[in-house]
Amino acid sequence: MFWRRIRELPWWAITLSLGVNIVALGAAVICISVFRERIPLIVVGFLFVHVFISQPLKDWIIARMGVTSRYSGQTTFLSFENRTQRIMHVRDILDFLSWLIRSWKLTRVRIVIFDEQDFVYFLTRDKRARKMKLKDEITDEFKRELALYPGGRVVSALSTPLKAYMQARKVKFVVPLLFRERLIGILGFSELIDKARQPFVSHAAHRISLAIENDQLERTVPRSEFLKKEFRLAERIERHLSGVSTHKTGNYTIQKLDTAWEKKHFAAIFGCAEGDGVSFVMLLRLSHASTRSNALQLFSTQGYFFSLCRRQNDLTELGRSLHRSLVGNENQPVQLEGFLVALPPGNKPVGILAFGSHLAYRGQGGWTWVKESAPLGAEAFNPEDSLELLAQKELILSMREYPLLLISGGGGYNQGAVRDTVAASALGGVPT
Amino acid sequence: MTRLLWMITYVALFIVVPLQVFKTVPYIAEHKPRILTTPHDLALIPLTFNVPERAVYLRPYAGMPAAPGELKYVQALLPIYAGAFFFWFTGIFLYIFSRVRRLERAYILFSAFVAAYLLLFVDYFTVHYTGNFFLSYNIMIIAPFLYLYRSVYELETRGLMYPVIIIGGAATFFLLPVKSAADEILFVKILGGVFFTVFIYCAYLFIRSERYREHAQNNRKLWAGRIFNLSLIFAVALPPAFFFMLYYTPVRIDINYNALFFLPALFPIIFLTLSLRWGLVSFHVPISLAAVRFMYFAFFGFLYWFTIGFSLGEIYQSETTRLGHIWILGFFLLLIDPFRTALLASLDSYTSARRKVLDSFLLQSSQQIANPRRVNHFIDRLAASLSEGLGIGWTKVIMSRDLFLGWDTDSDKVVYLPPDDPFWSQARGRLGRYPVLTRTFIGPVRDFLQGHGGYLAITMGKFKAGILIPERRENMPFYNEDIRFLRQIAREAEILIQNYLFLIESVKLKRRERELADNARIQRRIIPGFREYDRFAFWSYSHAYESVTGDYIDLIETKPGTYVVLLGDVSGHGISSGYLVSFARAYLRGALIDREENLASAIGGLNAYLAENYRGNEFITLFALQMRFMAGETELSYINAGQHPALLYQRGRMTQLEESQRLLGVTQNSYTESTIRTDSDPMRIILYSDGAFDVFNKSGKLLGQKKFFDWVESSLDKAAPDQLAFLRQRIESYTGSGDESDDLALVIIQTR
Repeated sequence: MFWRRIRELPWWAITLSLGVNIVALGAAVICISVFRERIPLIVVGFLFVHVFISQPLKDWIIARMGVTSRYSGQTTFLSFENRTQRIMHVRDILDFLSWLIRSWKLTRVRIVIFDEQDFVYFLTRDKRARKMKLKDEITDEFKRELALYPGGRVVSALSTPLKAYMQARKVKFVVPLLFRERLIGILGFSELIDKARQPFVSHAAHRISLAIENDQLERTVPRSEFLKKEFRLAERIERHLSGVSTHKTGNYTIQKLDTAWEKKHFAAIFGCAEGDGVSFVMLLRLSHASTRSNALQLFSTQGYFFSLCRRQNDLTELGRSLHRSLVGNENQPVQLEGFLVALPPGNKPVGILAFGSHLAYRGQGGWTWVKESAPLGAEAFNPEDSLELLAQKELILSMREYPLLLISGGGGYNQGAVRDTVAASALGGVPT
Repeated sequence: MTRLLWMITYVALFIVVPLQVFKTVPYIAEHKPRILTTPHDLALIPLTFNVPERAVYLRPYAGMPAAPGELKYVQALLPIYAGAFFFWFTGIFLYIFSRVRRLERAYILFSAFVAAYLLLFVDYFTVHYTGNFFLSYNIMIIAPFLYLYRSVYELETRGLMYPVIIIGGAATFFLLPVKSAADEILFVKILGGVFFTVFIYCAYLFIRSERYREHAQNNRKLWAGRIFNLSLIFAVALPPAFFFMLYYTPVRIDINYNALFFLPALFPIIFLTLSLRWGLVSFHVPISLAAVRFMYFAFFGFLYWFTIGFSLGEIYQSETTRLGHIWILGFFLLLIDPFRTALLASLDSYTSARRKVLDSFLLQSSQQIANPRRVNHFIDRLAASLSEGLGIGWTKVIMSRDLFLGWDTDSDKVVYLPPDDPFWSQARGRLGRYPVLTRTFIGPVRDFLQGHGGYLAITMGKFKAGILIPERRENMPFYNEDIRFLRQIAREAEILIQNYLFLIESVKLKRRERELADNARIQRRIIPGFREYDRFAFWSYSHAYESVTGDYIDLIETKPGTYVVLLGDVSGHGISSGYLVSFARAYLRGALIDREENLASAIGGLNAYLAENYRGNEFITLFALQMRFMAGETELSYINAGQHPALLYQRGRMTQLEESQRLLGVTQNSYTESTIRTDSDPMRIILYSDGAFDVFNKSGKLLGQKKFFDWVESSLDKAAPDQLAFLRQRIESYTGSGDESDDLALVIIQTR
């Protein structure tokens, strides 16, 4: 252990130091013996040289040259890394490659960037980079082959067609620029890159790829920002689908239960009280996907609803008109599920026209699933398939197991005369 | 409190030095001694080169004053002050930069004692303000020495031992008053005995520790500890041992031997080197090797100036001392200097090896960054690279909750902070993209970071994200290379985060574009393109500024022979306008077809709804034209709610249907129909939105209504579909690649 430690001491550095000191001391002693009358001058001179020149120089040599010259390699990497750190955009790539040409004494480098329009940049020593549209086709076959060598490849080791392609362009070493396993460019050198430098090139290639990718993605940002604003405005308008969160009509108060409105894109359309005292409430959802584009169709339904419910008293008739409009006026059938509720004045029964599946309501008697029926707008829709509930103090409407609308202010408790409903317990659960 | 006391001590030492120098210089100038002696004339420090042959260390000396101009007291005393400075400097260095644990505390204490020791030493031989206290202090200094020594071995440091030593030292001041040279000699002998006892005790601890350490495998600090202990014994035992040795082996006084007093100052250098290399001390801040190199340079520069310089200067002064001078020259140039080289090369070699390791991790991380996967995976790899590269136990990513909206992880490597957390402002306010010590944060932020065990935090310039790391394992300090590595990794992470954000934005953009396209598709379905009836044909063209148009075109057959053509424009454009188009279209269709309302009633109802619900924020301009075809005549009824007048062309004459009313959605309002009856001659009616002329070309010049009308008039001889194509082509080629500013809607009706 001890001897191993001793052997590990930097003997080369110690020897160097010793050697220099012996020579310096010898020279000083000789000088003193020859020029005895100028001893102070020689001593100060020796000290100055030893302390301020010889000692720092030795330290510098030790730090720079080091054992097996690994220091110099690392110093190169340090400056290389400092340069690669600056690569943020395509213009930085060109600056970096220009530096690389100067630093590594290369003659020519070219870089191809695949984009909406492919470009090739030519860089030569002491000249500005030239940018040209890539005229010759780099086939998918070539791209696939290049992607196999992420660290770069000597051109002579490539397949014959690709080798011929590259050699025709005087490229001897090629590095694919890959990002997320997608080839987004190619770096071509007119010289062979020695093995010690290949990891550096690979390192730079990764950074270049990332810069290109970011540059390309960054271009989509203005459009994205524009659409973000557009959609924010759209969301503001969409709130009009649901109306206000609380609506009063006659004795009734209709209140949105804000549990799942945002997520599921439900639409409540209520507030139509222009008939002979009968108010209508409509709770809707498209029977298929619930994306923003479908809000367009919900707005359309809202238009029909508000247009048709005016001076309308009859639930069945309103349902029929809505269905007819959706079928007749939309070029493609729009199918909706939900509730259409008629709220007559006084203690008259509440009419509910439910269409679609996963619908339930909760009166004083607890949760009740509504039997599945054809959605509004579907061929099999039957507007007469409504049910009547004696006026309820509170009525909660639920879709897809989300309680969404609370209608309160009806008459006292009464076991609702219900048609076509199934007890929730019989279906194995109640909406949450 | 303790730290404050240390600070006061170090400041006091700093102040004492010039005070002492100001007193010592006049003393020497007044007495002009050739040799500085103890109060009882025992010779010790020569101040001139030409000291008499008989002058011997620790022997009584009553020499003649020095000849004017021959005093070399600066050279003689400077080594002692330089030694004091190095102890003082390293002590205060640790006081400021180290995390004060037991070892650091012991060192700071010890350094203060040694610096004071050297000042007392000078005082003892010169102005003698402190009397004989220096002699007692030789015993008192054993206490901090043992405290430091035991700290290195991680032995118990509490106990009575230290007060007993200090009190014992103080007691000798009173119990053994030094009144003569004989007393001094006696004291030196006692001191030798005490130090010998301490040495035996230290040797015992050393051997016991060595025996224990044999069982500990791979103890990296083993050699560091050994070297450290040897240098420590050397540092403290040397001055008293020097006296002891000089007393028993009389040596002729020579100014060059003064430099030997400087030798204990090797200890701070060794201590610093070992701490940096093996982490004896836990530093608070990253250490720059440049500073260490400078310290080496300064220390050895001093040392060589005192030793080599004097020896060279005197080498031919006296034939009898030539051997002595050559011995000193050889000792420093051939032993001490290679030793210095070895220390420095070892440190270089170590940092170089570390740099190599860090660079390889950097290359690895660059590979990972070129092929990033999920954010979780990226964070895991980042943490692994940093932890392995820096030799730390863990790495945490600090992230603002709003950085990746909708992305949440339960990974223990991520620490979430609110976007408005003071951490962000504190971290940026300091050093930007440089790592910041967590202890420099203030308030709850510091508590939070240190509560997580964080030592350094680095934030990313662009984003509210950062990296938090703990101290390195085994007290190893962070070097500049480590900080560079950390910064590079943080920089790469920042670019990758940028990439993720761009990617997220790109995915969102695609989704929005898809939604827009869906909406546009739905809209296109309901826009009537071409319709042909018995009495007329209808052509329309609608082009959206953004995929979804805010222009509204509809054709409705309300009754047999009665048709309503609607061209409207909702305020703004894009998807929100599309919603209102959809609503208005359905509303009017419901009213006109199902409820069979007249035009004025239907439009009035729509206006009422818009005004009530949108309160003037959204409005629609609309041209509604009802065409009733009767035998021999056509009745045209229209309501123009703020829309541009329709153009009616019949029998070579162009008429504008100008009667205009209030646009929809502003206030509650009733509308009236304007009616025109025409004969059954063919006529062409053109309806258009403001996108037909309210557009700009590449140079930003507005097309204008007049130009549009010119185009309309010049193309009236064309068939209706050709005219529509002509107008469309003209408008679109006018805008060219310039920005369109509005949706375009055109309708042409040709009656028969």
